[in-house]
Amino acid sequence: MAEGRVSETPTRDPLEPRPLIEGAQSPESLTGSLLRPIERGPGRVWWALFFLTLGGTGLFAAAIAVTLVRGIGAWGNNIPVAWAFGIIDFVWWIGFGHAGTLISAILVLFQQKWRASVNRFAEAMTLFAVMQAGLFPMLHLGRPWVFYWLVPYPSTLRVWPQFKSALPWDMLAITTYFTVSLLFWYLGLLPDLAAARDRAPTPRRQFWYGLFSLGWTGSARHWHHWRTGYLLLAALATPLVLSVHTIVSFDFAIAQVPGWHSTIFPPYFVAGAIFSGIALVLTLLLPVRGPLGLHHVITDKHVDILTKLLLATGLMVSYGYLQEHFFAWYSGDEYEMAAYAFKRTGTWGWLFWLQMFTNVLVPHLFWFSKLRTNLVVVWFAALAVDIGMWLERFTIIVPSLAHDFLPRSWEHYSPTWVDFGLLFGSMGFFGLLFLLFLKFIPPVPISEVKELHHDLKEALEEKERRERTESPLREKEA
Amino acid sequence: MPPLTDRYPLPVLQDPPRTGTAGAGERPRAWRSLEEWRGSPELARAAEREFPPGAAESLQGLDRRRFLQLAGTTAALAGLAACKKPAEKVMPYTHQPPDVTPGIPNAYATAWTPEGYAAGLVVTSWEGRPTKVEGNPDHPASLGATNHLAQALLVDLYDTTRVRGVKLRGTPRSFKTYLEEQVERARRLEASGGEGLWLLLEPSASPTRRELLDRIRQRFPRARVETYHALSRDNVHEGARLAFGRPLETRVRYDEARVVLSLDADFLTQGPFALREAREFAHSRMPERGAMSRLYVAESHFSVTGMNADHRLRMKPSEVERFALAVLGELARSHGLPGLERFRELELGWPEKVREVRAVAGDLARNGDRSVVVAGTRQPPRVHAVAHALNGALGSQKRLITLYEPGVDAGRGGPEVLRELAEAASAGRVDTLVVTASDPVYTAPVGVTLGAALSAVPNAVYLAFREDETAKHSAWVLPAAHVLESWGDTRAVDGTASIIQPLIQPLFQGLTELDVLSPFAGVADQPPYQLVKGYWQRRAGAAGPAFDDTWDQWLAVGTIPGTEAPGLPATVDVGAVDASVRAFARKPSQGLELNLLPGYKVHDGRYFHNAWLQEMPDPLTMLSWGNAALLSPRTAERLKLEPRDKVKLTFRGRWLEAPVYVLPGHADDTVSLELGWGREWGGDSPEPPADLGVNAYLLRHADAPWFADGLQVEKVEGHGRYATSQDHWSMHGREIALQDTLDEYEKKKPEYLQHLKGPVEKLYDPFKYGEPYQWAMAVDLNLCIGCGACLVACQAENNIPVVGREQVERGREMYWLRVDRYFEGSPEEPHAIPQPMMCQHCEAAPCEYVCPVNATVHSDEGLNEMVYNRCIGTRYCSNNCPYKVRRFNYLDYRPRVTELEKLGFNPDVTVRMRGVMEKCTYCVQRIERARIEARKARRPIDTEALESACAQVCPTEAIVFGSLHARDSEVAKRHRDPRHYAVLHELGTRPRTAYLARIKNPNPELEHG
Repeated sequence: MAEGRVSETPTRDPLEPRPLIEGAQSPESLTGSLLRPIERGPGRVWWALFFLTLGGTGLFAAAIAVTLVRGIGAWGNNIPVAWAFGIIDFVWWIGFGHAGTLISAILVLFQQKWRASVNRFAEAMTLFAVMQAGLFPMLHLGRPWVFYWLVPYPSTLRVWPQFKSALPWDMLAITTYFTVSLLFWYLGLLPDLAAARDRAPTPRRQFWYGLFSLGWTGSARHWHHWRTGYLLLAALATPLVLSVHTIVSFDFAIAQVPGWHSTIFPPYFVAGAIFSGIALVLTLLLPVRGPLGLHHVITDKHVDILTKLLLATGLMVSYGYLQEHFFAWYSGDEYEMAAYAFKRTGTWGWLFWLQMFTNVLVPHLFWFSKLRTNLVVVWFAALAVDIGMWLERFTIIVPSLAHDFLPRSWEHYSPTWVDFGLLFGSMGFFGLLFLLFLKFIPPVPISEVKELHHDLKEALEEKERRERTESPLREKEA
Repeated sequence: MPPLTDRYPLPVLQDPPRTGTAGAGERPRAWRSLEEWRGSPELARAAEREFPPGAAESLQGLDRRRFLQLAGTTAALAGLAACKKPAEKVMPYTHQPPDVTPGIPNAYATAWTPEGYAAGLVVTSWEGRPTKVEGNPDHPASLGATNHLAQALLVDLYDTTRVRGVKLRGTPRSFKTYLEEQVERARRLEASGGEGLWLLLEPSASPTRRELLDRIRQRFPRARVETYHALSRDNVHEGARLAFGRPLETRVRYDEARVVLSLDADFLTQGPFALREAREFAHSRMPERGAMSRLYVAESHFSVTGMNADHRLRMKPSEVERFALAVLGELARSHGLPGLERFRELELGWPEKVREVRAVAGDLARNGDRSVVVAGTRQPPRVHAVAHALNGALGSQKRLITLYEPGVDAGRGGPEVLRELAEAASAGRVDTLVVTASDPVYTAPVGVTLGAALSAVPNAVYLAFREDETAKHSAWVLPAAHVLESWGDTRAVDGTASIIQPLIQPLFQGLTELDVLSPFAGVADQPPYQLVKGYWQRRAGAAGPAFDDTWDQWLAVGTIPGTEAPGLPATVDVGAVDASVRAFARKPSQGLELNLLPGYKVHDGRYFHNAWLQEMPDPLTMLSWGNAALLSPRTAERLKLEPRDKVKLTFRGRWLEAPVYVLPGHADDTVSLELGWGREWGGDSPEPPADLGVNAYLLRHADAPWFADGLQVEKVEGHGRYATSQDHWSMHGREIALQDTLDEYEKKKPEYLQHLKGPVEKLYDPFKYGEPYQWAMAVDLNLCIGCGACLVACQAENNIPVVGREQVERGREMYWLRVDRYFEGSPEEPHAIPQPMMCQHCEAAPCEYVCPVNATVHSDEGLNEMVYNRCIGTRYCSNNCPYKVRRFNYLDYRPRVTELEKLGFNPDVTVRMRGVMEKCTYCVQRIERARIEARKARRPIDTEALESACAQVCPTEAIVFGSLHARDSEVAKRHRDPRHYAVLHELGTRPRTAYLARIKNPNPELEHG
């Protein structure tokens, strides 16, 4: 923000760490600036994007309606490619969800303070991505109206789900993940909702924010319970980061389809999920930072850390790719080798090489600190990774199925408009939810930022105090 | 072969006691098995136990007519009564007929007449609805098998687009009006001796029809009575006329043969005795019995027989004749066969083929009277004559061949007849024309404008099954009855006569050929039933109840005993053959040759509207819903054509556009095109109306009915469309459909394919299957000829939906059993290996552990069971099935089924809804029916009599089904055979379906070099 930059020194000491909060801030100024996005009326850009995403949501609804009325036959799936866009979209969306939990839960436990200003953002993204992801397995069923058979409940049918299959666990993982993410997000929201209530310009807003803030008064007791609860939920959510995508990877790994049957899948899927999640955080964060006036709390430092994480997870993913192909070769199994050869050189080989470019080569840009802070480069790189991760799921699922054991079964696959409608429609729906989030909920956790601000100030004062007390001593010694 | 329908152990039908003839020992009219027909006391006892006293008792005083009415269940008599007598209406059962128990099917013997000759059928009927066609094991031309066409008969029966009701120039008329008018006209024609009367008839071996025609010929001496079939057997008859001086039908005992040379003869699937000859051929291919014949096939396109050849000699269609003469010359010259002396000078100068000619001639000569040469119907008479001459000289004519008097009219039945008719009609010389041949206007060759000629005939009568081109031009259109709705009679090639009895009352007031001809024969007052019965009564020389009894027995068995004709002695007139051979002037074939083929599925086009056959993949090309121009890879390369390109085929100034299909193993410089396509698919289900395929009749000339040179091929803009269910023709070196040579197999026999059988290492102990029945299947690839009858039989038995061209293109066909076809070797000279592939019922099934809802589970009898009700459609099972035999209902294929078509469903099999997975069940409904019957009779299941639909229909017994615990059963034996292996054995799925490797018996002279 303008007032933040005024006090900034024109030249920067390269050894000076980049600040997490820029400018001279007070708790009041932070609250004010962070609540401004929701207090302000929607701008023209917001409305434009709103209608765009509303249109996307309409497309999504239409594609869902066609799927439900006509059946899965409205998609391009066939035998042998019985899974395609539906599952690709599912894995893609659920992968995005992982960054939120990583940033909010794991980093809480590791006491990474920098996370404070981006965690709400990431969590909301997680929540909305999981909402998209959760729709796909259900839509993907031949008979979606009996999806609840996947749930173990005391049924008069006296048949339980088959726990050897990965799919009931999928169901369990997604629902758990969604529930925990929602609670975690909401718990984190409480103090900020209260702040919004307290500063609400209209009675109606005051009423609604008051309702959802559950009577938060900011008493020490509240803060005490809140902190305990938040930490507990963080501890609960942490294993989910690993488990959800591990289970998703089992959908493939436990099958004997060449190209799926691989023990590297669980870690490689988790890494890929975080990779894609961080990429999406960057993709969404950078454009909204300016219009929402969040430069002072979401600084280059954050971008720098996120791109480093992107590089780290990107390397893990690259290792996964390498191992996959190495194992296929090392196994000497003709089917595996043929499947991977088909992946590389077959009908969809170009998608594979595009994926190699986006997911393996692009992250290497971020070895360079200049590029890490070049927002245009970062944004396009993140977008490339988002797309590349979709391609990754495509090249895992479709070519493997299309080229399995008996050459007689090999069949081409081509998606229909409904497939694309679901993909782009889900993006529209996601965008719609995200826009509403930006409009109604403080996008940056105010209390946590203030806490961080406080901590930073204290640390600074502490440092100064120490310097003050130590320097006379040194002089004395000298 | 075990008895046919033992799995339907109905209560034994008690014959209604008839005055005078009542008593024990009478035989039932409707039978499920030969045992039952013979009156096995055990079965009779079983039946008595099952039904309490009174329940199985027959109605007293049931007369013959009443019985027949019930036998057809829907009172078939009403159909034959037609309009001449008050129709005998079908009423709901006030009194339940003794032979119909709701929920228990009956089986009735009848016959159908492909190519004019009989093939015996046994049709399953549920409360009067025919649902499944099987072969009649007692019929010499069937032996219990049928081909794919017979399996699909029901589709035509229940087709709503059939002609309904009699029409005169589009206005509905009653059949009575027709009869009255024709009787009147016949009377007028009689005066002129029948001048202006033409009959253009379907070839038929019906004795009753022959009698009617004799009467017509007597009454109208100047009438023209001709038979016509677009795929006529003229060449066969003319060839025999050339060699023997009279037309004869040839029947070859392939089981005795050691060497067979086929000159473009697809004898395994074409011809009136094909089913039997296929089985006998298979019997000559059993290495474990020490019998391995060797088959040479000289042909251009890839036929089913070519697929089974040890050596396929690829050549242009016109070169087959030259090859035949070369073999003749070589045998005469180098082997000095007696009787062929005068052919020693025959030298054709054909260096490229000299090696093949020598090898084939040498092999034929070595095996003497156990080697046989057969010629195909497409080859000119000279080739047939040469084949006869060779067989005569080799001695096989005495040992392997039986010659029969043709049962069908052996006059010319090809395109020339149409030309004469068209000329006469255009000149106004035809007053009355009766057409019962199938759609001659559509099948007419180029230059014969039959349509216009037909319109000029004032009284053109056409017995039409559908509103086809001929119907459009005919004054009178009569609805043809389906064969399952008709009374009639017919004969097999060997003379065995059968009565065709109806299974159901004609659905659309259908009429038979006899109905149409009766006014001209002066018997308009007699319905076909009376005509047929009257004829046979006169032949049997009996009358009254005694004959009724015999008649009922004939109907029950499906054949008339004692009607087999003896083989005719005949000697080849070598002089005549020589004269013909000398007349052979080889003109070198210029450029590309056009090669027209009989439609494998649509025949001459008459089954074009049959959705099952449309969707059935062609055995070689795997094409559904259309045909394509078949080219060899080399020719395609030379013409710079890619698969699915569109080409313009120009032949003698006329052209059509067709999609290109590159078929490995096709002859170079030849373009093959199947006849019978290119019509509009009119129905609303399951394809939207569109032209399917291209109409090759547009290039067919009367003087070149099958092949000729002078074809021009040129690539045109756009893409040709065809649907194929197998894009990849190579096995990519994988061990899937295995083939080996006899020598190799003998060498490796003790540990043959050890790596593809036996136990696989498991972490856990496998389940111990202790139940008495362990269902299993075995497919002997060496016996499988790849005809595809199993595929259609499976569809009929299991209510498998037809999905339509677009869905096939998308890869969503629903076949539970498919016949995969792989090529091995080079694209120019490949071996083709068919492999029926259905659910393997793996003991460690990969599909089961991935199903999230327990919808696919394993039975302790070894069946992989699919629970449709539980399936939620995740399709995970299909992904994990390495054989990809699971089929998913991507769309709701059911609303397209008309109410009428629903009558053809098998009530024992659930109709699946949208969104569920389905797959081969090993015909579990048959197993369960057998189990119920066995339990009632307190005996174990007769596993030998139990057959899956595919095993039952298989002409060569390549597929067998049964229990592994019955150690002596065929299936258990095959599971122990050294040739058996499991497909994808290394995955550890332990399939219950074993495959037996295919063994080839190549000639060492042709193998190397």
